[in-house]
Amino acid sequence: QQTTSDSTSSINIENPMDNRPQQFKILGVEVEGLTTSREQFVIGTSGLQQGTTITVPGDAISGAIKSLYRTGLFSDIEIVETGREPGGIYLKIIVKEQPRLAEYTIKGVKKSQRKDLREELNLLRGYAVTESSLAQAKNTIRRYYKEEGYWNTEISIEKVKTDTVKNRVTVRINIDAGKKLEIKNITFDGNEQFTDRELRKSLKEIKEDRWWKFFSKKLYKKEDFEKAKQNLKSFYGERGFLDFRVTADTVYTFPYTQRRLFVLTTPARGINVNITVDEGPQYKVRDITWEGNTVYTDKKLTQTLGFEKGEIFNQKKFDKRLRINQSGPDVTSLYQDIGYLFFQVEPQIEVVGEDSVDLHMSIFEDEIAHIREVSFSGNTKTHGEIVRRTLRTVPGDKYSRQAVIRSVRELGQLGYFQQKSIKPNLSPDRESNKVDINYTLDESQSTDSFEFSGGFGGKGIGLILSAKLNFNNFSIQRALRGEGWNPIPSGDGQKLSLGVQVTGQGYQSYSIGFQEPWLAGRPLSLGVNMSYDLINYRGSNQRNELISSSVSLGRRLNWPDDYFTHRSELSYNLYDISNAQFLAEGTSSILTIKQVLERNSTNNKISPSAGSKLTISGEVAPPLPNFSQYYKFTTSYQNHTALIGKLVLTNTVEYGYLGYLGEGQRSNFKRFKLGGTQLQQRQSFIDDNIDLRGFPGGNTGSITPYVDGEAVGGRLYSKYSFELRYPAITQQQAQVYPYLFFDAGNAYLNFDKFQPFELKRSVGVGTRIYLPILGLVDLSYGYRLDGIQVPGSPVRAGEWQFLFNIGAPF
Amino acid sequence: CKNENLIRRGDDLETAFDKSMRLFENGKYRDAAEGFETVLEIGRGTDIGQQAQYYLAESYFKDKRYLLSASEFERYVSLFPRSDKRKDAQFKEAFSYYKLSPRYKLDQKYTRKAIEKFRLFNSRYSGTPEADKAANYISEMREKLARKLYNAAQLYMVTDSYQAALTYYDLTIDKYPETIWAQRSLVGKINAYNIYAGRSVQSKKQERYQKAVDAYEKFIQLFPNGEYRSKADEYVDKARAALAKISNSDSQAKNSTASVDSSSE
Repeated sequence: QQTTSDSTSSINIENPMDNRPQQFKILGVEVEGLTTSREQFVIGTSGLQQGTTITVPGDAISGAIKSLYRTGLFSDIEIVETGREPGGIYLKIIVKEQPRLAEYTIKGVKKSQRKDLREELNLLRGYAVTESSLAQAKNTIRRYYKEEGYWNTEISIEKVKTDTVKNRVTVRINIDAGKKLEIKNITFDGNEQFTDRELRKSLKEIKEDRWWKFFSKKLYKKEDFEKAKQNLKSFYGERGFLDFRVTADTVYTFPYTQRRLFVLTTPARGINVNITVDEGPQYKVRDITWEGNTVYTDKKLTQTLGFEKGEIFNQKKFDKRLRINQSGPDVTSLYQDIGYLFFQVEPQIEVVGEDSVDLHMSIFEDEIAHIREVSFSGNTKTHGEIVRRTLRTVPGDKYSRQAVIRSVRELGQLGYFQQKSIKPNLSPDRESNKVDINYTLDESQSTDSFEFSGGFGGKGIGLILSAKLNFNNFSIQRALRGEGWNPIPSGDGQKLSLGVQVTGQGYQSYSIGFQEPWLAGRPLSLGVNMSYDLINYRGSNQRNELISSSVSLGRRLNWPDDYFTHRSELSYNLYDISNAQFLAEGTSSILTIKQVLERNSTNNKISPSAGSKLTISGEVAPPLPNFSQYYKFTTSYQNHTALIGKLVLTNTVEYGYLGYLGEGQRSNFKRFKLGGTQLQQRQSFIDDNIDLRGFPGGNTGSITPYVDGEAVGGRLYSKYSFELRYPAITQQQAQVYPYLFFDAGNAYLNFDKFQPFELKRSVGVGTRIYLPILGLVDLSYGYRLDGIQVPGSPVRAGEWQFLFNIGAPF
Repeated sequence: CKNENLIRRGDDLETAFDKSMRLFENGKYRDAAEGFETVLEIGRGTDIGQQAQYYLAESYFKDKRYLLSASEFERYVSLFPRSDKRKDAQFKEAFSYYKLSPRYKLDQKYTRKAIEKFRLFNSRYSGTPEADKAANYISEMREKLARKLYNAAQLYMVTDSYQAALTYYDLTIDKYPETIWAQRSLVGKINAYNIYAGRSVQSKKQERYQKAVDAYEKFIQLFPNGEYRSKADEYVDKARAALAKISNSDSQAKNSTASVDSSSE
């Protein structure tokens, strides 16, 4: 075992006062004290080669010492003059080599911890072992154990020379972690308005150990405790206790008896936390005044702030309504949304009387700022124009916080970038009243998905196998140029999907879809879809085929507001039917023109927590010669409301109507049937299938009017749905949204039979799971309150129905 | 046999280095890089360590792992600033970033880095043939950056955001005046002011057509023989015609009010 002294360096030059800087040529350099390093290396690194001219005193010598230190190989460096001739000097570099690390061992810890520690420790083989690197290692280990709840960790470090020739040492680290300490008790003094229990709850960061709390944090950490005290302060602040203070806090260990399995007991030590508080009075708002506002009236500002006279002064609400409010209006937004980027407000909270406060806000409105440059970084796959066209912040416009928020949200909705990584950075320039905005993006994760699913479609259908490939950021331009096939040309934000579905009992479906959201650089989306469906049940001579193709054009509208979109769709369907129940045999062609108007202000594709979606669609299949005719209207409205915290209520209303233009060539395709999800419904492609949980759907399990015992499908339908949803996991890698639902709906033969509230109902539970590779999976387990009232129908009331789907719900 | 080439426990520094060099010469850059890493670990501070550092960077470069080669070349330059190979390493550090520079539609982080590194190289080694090469690479990459800005302007033109388009034309001209994109931006500016003026309220029209003419004059001044001259001429004719029309109707309006005044007297 050896120790090295603290590194010091010295340089032997005479008193600088009598030494004027003078130029010398180096006539010779020697190096002393080397064991493994080469002389040439030392001289090279120092820069003091023979023949070089240096100034003494000057930077050359100190620079040389610095360079040598930087190699980390020497603990002691000295440069001395060994001789002098007119115009030249001889130098000697004396070094002491630092022993270098051969390897290091950690003893006294668990294997998993050893691995963790090895990751945290900054000890590298081949690098010099210094006192400071060892002290750093010790600190790292101590910190690591404290994080885990060990307070008295003993660490000893030994250095052993294992290779004297090469000057290598082995470092042995011995750790005795000691006993783990948990918080056993949290008590309060001085609290009159609230109980210990309420206050304990408000701490959030630290928790007591109780036998039923297996997973909660019970370890004591300094930072957590500080946060917990902050939480306590805001707990009081939210309730009007402005003068609240923590007057003292103590944390100490004490012995207690640990119970195991209720019978065994062992003595142990735990941590006791005591917090003494001074609550002070509960303040109420008396007067609210504003100063410096020219853009908005006092009344408007007070209304936005949302405090009534006599209301308890809630500090948190006050801050939120003044600065930034995620779920409603705030004063700062009022200004920042119309360009007042430099807007400032300074609140003064003045205590009057025993327990009242006057709120006085001084406002500095300043000038309106305009946007200058808008840039972004981190788009390693997606082309710039795809990002730029999504941004609501346009150069030359007035700055608007709302526009920034919407840009971030809509960038997230593209699905190409990690949601959490999208950040706007503002660089305001006060002199010109301009602001540059840069968005940072992270595109390290793939956005393509491959869906492969299997399911049981019920009797008569059998096993369903389906595979779907979605390329969400396709580039057809690059594909045609033959570049980027590694594996798939990407970057232009186009969507390409290929799907195959087969079932064991004679159903096959193939589809291909392509979507370009911006046609020729304009906000006009183009969609092209083609599909082929075939059903041919074994042991039955029923054989139905459908060839379908469609082209659609959609665009964003700016009026009535910019959440509106409009879509036109032209589609051609060719049906070939043999031996269907009530449909005429042979082929029939249908050409439809469809117009869809939609307003979508939902804030998330998978699980919106706010916003609504309204869709109105009209479709007509004109009575052309040799074509079948019908027309159809559907409308749906869906609304998402955050109830408490992250709990969201979604309610949906839908209606549809199918009519005919005259008597001839009526189409009986695309009538309404309710039940199941898309996965079950694809078998019955001749109908218009509406999702309804709790009912199996498909050919035999759909809700439909019956004529002579045959399921004919409705000309009208209605559907109502309530869903209570909670975002349980919202990570990038996995998202899980469990929900409760109540669904009701029915299909009616015609207008005379239409009774919008005569419904088939179901209640149940379900969950939506999003995995990037798999896409969105929906599982629901519904209990039917009503059955399908047809003799012999397998779908009866009072039964549970499991459903499974892959794809987007909203 | 491959195993002979791999470094084993007990090999001394020279042997390990020679084995790694053999891998390098045989084109097995991935294995060579691993070998040089090992050599470096045990041979830090020796001449062999210095060579290994260079060839480690070189192996990464040949293996197309440019981010790694850039950082290893950089390390070489900072550890051995007086080495003969410094110039070479410094050039290759910049060149590694050049290799990382993607097509203009993507994030240009590495393009900017490459330009910065090539500039650093040129300030140290100006006048050398490599500096000429570096200058060529710099102008190639500046074309790319300019094109990116110009493209943003074009996108704003299609979406009728003329102010935004003008901002980006100006940025292209200010930042990359020597590129073809600056020339195209000036032409774009004349066009943008024309369309913008055409869609403006009467009171703003004159000012905006005038700006189209101003942009044209700047074009003539900067690129008198530019390849987009005819396009610029075409656009400015429109602007001048519009201006003439405005001043005509203005003087007519004045005349008519004047005549009204005189008649009322």
